[in-house]
Amino acid sequence: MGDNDIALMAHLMRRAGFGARYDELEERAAKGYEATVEELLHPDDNPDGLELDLAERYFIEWNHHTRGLPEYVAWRMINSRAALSEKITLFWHGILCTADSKTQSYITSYAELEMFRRCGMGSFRDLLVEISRDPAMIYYLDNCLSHKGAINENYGRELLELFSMGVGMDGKFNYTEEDVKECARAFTGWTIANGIPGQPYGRYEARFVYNAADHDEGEKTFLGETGNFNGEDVIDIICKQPATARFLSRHLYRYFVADDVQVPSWMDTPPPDPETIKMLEDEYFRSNYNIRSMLRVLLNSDAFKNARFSRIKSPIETVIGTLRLAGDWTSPKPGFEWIFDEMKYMGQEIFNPPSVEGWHTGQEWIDGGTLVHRINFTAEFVANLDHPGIQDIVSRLASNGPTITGEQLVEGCLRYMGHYELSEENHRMLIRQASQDGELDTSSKDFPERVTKTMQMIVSTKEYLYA
Amino acid sequence: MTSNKKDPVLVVLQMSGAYDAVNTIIPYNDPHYADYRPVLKVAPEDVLHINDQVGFHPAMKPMKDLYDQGKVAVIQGIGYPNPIRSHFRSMDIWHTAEPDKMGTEGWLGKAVRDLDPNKENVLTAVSFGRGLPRALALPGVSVASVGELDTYGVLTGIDGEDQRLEALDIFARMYSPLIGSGPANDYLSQTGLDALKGADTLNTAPLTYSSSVEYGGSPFAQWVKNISQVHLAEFGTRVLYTGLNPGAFDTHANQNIAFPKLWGEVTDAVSDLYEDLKEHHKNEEVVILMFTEFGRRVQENGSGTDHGSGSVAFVIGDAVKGGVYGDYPSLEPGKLDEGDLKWNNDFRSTYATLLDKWMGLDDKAILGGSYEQFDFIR
Amino acid sequence: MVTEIAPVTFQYSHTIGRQEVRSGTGFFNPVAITHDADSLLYVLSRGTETPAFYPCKRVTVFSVDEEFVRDFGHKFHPHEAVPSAPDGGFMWPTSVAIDSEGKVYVADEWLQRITIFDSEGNCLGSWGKTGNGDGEFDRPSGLAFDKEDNLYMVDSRNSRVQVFTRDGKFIRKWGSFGDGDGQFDMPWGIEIDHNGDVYVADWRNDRIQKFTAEGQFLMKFGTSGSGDGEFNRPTGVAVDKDGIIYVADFKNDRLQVFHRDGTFAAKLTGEATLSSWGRERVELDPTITRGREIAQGLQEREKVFAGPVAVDVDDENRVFVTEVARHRVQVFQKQSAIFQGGLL
Repeated sequence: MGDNDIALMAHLMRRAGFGARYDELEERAAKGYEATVEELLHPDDNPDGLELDLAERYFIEWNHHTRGLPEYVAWRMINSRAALSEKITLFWHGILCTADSKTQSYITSYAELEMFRRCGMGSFRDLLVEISRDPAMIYYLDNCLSHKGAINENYGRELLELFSMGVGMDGKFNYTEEDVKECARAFTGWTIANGIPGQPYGRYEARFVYNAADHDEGEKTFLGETGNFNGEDVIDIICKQPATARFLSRHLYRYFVADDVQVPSWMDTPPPDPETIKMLEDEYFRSNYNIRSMLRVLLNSDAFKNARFSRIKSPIETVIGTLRLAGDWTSPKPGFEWIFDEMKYMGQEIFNPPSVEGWHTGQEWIDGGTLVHRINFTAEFVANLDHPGIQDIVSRLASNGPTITGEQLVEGCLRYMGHYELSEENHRMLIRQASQDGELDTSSKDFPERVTKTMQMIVSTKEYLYA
Repeated sequence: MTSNKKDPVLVVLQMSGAYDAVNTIIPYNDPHYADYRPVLKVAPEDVLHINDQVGFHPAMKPMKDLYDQGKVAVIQGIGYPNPIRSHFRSMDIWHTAEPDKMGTEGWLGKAVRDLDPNKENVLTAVSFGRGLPRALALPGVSVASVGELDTYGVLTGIDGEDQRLEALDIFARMYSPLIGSGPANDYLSQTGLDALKGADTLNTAPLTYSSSVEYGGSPFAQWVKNISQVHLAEFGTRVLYTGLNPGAFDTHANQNIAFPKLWGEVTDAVSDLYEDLKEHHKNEEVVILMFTEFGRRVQENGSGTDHGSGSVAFVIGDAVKGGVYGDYPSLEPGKLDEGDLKWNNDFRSTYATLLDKWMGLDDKAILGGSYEQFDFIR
Repeated sequence: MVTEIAPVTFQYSHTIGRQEVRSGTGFFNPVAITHDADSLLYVLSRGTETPAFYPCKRVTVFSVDEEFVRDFGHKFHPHEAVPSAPDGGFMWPTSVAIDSEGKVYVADEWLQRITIFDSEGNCLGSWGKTGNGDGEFDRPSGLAFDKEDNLYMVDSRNSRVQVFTRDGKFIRKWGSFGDGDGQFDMPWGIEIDHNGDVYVADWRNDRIQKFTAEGQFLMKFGTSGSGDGEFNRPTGVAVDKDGIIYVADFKNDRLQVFHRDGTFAAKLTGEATLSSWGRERVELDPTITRGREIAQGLQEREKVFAGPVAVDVDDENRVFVTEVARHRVQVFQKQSAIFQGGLL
């Protein structure tokens, strides 16, 4: 098992998870790349290692999901071995998104994430049915206000525009305003029960109801097909469209492979890697809209394997990845709300995408304020020698012998942080800095600090902003 | 503003948690007031009377003094259509000036873009607190977001002055744009260097500052002091933003303890800021907007108040024509909006007035529409 | 020969409490309940970290008919939550117990100490030392006093029960990690019955164990599952004067009732109605009143236990079930098995 295998595994775990410490990379690389992909694709067959009963004993508000859900989601991301399961949950949270700033019910929003965890790698058709009957979504996009004879188009429109097909493809529109209205008609009657007020006994999860009496039974013409369509029929028609294959493929590519322009530009801007997108589109139809199959093709593709450091990390990836590297928050302790705040200050709040478009990604994550926050947060963690993950890197470097060169120090840090790659100039600069006092005595008292200083410089590079 | 004057500066103070409008500007002469507020009512003789109808809460004495000097516009009955009683969503609405849809662009972000279209000054806007408020968020607009001014900067966690300087030197070189590295990389380089430059500049503000005014010790008071320090340092900063920590004014319970304490702290800080600026002869350059996300229930819950709508905002400064603006919403049971004060002026009217009459910006472009303006700016 | 044991039956009485995130007439994530000699109830709220919710973590004292008496205690910010934090505050409070003089003892498993209050709620001090030696403990969970004012503590991460004098002097201990008789895996609640025997909710082993006061193993019952007599993380245990055993079957969202020999007797799943504190809250806000009128399925959804974490029973056989996720206490009256007279 060489460096290349581990570097590739580091890449896979950054993309299909939230990064992994070197010991986990070694262990997974020993199992092999494809076997690891399969393990990640089948979370139900592999233990996630989460001791949720214990976590809930200490964070008791997680019981019945009444409070602390952002922290609970973060907890799972940090500690679950079923990394892709959490990563795909976040993927859908950013696409089929609802915001708690409107829904005001974490318990209901969390149920939506559970649904993503359950259905997020299954059939895209089933997922669209599930999201259409998801109480948080019905409330967020006002389908509960859409009635027979008095439709509210909000859900019908976003289902087409942002959840499945996109406005257009290759410069052409994918659907008409008439399709939007017909789609909305098909979803009349898909609503929620009047809920129980959050006082005096706390919140209850909202519930889906199908109100047949309020469903528009009339004939509808949608994307050229005519019939007495209900919501599921419309979803069947949507799933058949090449535009849907393209839209989903492009989203998967952007999330797992490389940054792309923001969604509203997709109609007029072709995808960055048409070949890989084509491969995904083909798999979409071949597998009968199966997301797991598309992911298998994607994660095993050369395009994926070669696309290292071509995506700017989201704030959640940054914070969770840092905590996983440091080995912090593997057991409950007070102060967890703060983790959630850190992501928020960097521009990404779990349960609160800024709009129905989800989070804008890529360089839009970075502005003066968020950049400073991101670097300082990460630098603080890698410099904390109380964290087991940081201690581990120090001892791995110290085990190289009584002395190491500045170059070995920089190379070692880059390797154990997950085989990061720096530009030649920056690489040289860091080695020069690390070498200025000659060789380093690995048993000296200040050796650990030399290691963490080097890591601090690495996490402040532009390159480290990428995954 | 005429060109021989200094550039106008807007300070925004966000009172998170939703202060209780009814006990902030108190309708002490309304017979319903005492009925709604058996526990929380302030006795008429303790209210700091503005006129024979309303007055400030007694804890707001410093504000009342500024009011008596004609420096405070009290905007009564402020709100927006279809009031929302969620802190987050309502704050979003105030930040984006978009009550009808989920907006993502901040109204002040747009103001900053118009103030500095060529991005010549990385410090055109500075925010104090943790995280950037959405009011200042706009792609392509750089705003310095400062947690603690004295220690603000990149890589603040590196111990030892020499080591940190060395690290910053390397940082600057690492962020130098490379030829042919692509637009994303150039953007990151520029952002990194801007952040560094902003920090280097901002760090000097406390060094050149001296004043006889002593601010309180709370984080808010310190941030208000930072606002003064940055303004007095003349970095060309035009928008300065800070606020209370989330939920501070969310007085569902024990309001009689928390509420006066907060208003005391806040109005002391506002008054200190005014005095500080005056001591440096810079009081004419600054106008302060103070707002909260919504009002609270008119009927108390026995110990505090729950979420409501219809609020009150304040605009403070030498350029302000002091007085009461907007009507005080009726407390008559039949005239409440689901038990809340009924708003009667759109918050965007206040924004429009500040943008147009004070900042000299195109309010219609920024707010995406035309709103009737007040005449609270001289 | 008659071999059947008389059935154990209950009459739902009423519900006490509501969600109150700060202080006053309600609870916030209540985790423990006990009563004093005057039948006043004491509920301990675990609360949450959110700074705006203050004091939040507290002991609330009230009568069975829902008269608020007082509350005391407050929370610490996570950064202040160190063992040297001033007495009177909590971080992760787990349990409350009352001695014969009416003093109130609260265990905190993060601060690793027992804090003592007088019956008026004034803090008298604290004791406790972290470790695994005699008299040291690691994450104290349940507390209970015997008739001699000895304090029995579930020392959860040391997998044992320790007995202290009420000022913290070590007396004895028993238990080790494992699933054998007398062994524990993250034990939680504890109860002492009228004979002085000790019951421990052996949480991660999904069972209840019974010991003599000296720690001699007497019996165990329960196994993992959701059937009758099976548990999913039992948290609290109580025993009434007739020897009937009540177990808060936490993750099965029910209360199970057992005969004194540990055989299954009954289960309760909740009958909650609107408490009077709850009603006060509802009546203040017309939108809540209206919301309850139009809410679909309110009764079925509102009545059931959600996170029944602690159970207490008094000498009148009134059973108090505390729900962490609904911030309330449901009160049940055990019905008498003795014929009360009257017409057939």
